[in-house]
Amino acid sequence: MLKVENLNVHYGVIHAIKNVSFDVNEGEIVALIGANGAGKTSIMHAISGLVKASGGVISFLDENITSSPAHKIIAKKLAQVPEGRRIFSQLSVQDNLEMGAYLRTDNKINEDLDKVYKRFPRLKERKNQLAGTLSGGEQQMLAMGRALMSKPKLLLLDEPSMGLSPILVNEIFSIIQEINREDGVTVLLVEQNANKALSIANRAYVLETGNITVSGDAKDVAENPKVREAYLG
Amino acid sequence: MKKKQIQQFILSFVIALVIYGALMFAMSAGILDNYWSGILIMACINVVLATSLNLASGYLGQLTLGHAGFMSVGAYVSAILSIYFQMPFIVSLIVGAIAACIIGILIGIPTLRLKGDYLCIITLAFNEIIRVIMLNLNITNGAKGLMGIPMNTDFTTGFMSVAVTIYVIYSIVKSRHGRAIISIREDETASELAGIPTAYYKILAFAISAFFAGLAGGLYAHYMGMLVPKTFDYNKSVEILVMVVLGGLGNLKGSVIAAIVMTILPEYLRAFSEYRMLLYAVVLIAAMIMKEKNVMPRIKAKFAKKRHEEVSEQ
Repeated sequence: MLKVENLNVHYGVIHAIKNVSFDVNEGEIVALIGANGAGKTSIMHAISGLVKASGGVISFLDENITSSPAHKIIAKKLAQVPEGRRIFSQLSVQDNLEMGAYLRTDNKINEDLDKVYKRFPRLKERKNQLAGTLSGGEQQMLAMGRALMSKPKLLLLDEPSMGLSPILVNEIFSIIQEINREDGVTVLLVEQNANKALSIANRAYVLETGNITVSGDAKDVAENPKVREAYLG
Repeated sequence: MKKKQIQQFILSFVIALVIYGALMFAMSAGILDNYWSGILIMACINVVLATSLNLASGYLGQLTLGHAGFMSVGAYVSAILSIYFQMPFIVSLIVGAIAACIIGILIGIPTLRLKGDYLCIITLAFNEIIRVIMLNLNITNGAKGLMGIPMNTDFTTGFMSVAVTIYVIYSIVKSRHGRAIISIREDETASELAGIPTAYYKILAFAISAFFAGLAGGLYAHYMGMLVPKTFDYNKSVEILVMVVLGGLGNLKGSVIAAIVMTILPEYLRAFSEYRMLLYAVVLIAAMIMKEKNVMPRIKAKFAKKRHEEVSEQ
């Protein structure tokens, strides 16, 4: 579904991503794990068109999207929940969700709004509240809901567990599984919390300073001694 | 929803008409003398400037300090068309506004990648560049000033311009485009990820903002009858920005009120002549502190509560 080949990203002279290749098949949850500064977010941004790749090819549904602008990529049903949630804090919860459906012109938007509220009942309770007044966990749910409003085929999740309590992390991860299983949304998950990510993923890639060092089934990756030592403790 | 919008439109139209009628009556009956009708026209021009800047600074969230530059483009272009080409007033006004809009797009494309203080400095520099160009061109008559502009701006044209500006900006802000513009202010990355073509909307908002600044400039030129580049210096840009900030970023009503108050206030302070600027500064500081402490929303909440209690008592 998503194929990244020899991706390179430069920030000025800094070579952040070096010849990274991986792919995501339809229906999967794929985890991309790695420490701070390994380049996880850069890869996400390159896929979504927020930063320009300096080399390599990114294709989504057999279409080359490497140099497409962000809004054209989103229109192809590839959504991203950015790191740090980035909700529109001065807009209401409902407005935030509606912004997620910005590119849609069909008449099923309200139907999907109900679906999101069903998945995240807490958002429904707070639908007229300003999004900035939500707690961290609710903001993460809102960011996910907003991305779902675009009806994505592939959902990129950047550090969904960041800054959340362990209970909330569990809740968010089980929702990710639900979205994958029930709505048939393919998920590419970027996480520092390797344990959690590997527990729900089908396959995983380990990223170290811009290179992919280990890859394979999530179970095998979790048992890889190198990975265990570095990330799982 | 649609019906409510139409009702709202008709209501605002009627209110505008009543205000216009009342002021026109007051002027023709001599309740408002020439001096005050002049101030009213300046107030109209300032309202157009403040509401248009609010689109770029309040809704789009790009703090710019070059609004006087766009105003001067509109002023000079429309004045030159009126003097040298004998164009009808309305035509020169519109062409002036379009010229400002085009300059806005040309400035916007390279600068809107910048944010915050950088954008401020660039727009400030642009303001000065325009001023220096106006100072050195033959057709603008440099520092001596461009004279003999037909004085066509009256209260009616001023009021009409205000109505059109508020209508257009209000409609944009309340539309799908408006929500896109506001979401860019809230978070640009998230907007891009929601599929909003952010570059397009930034330039669109900037261009519309510049268009109405140009319109205000044209009104100003045909009200004063002469133009000197010094009018459109950095102080003017700051003055407009102050109106917007005082009225509230992203608050159209606030911009209108602040623009009117800030036109009339200096006139009242004339009595204190020497202390005028000092008082002016004190008023601004006081207003900022009150704003910071959210005095207005609290007063509003109080009133709402009172009304609520009254209703429940009945």
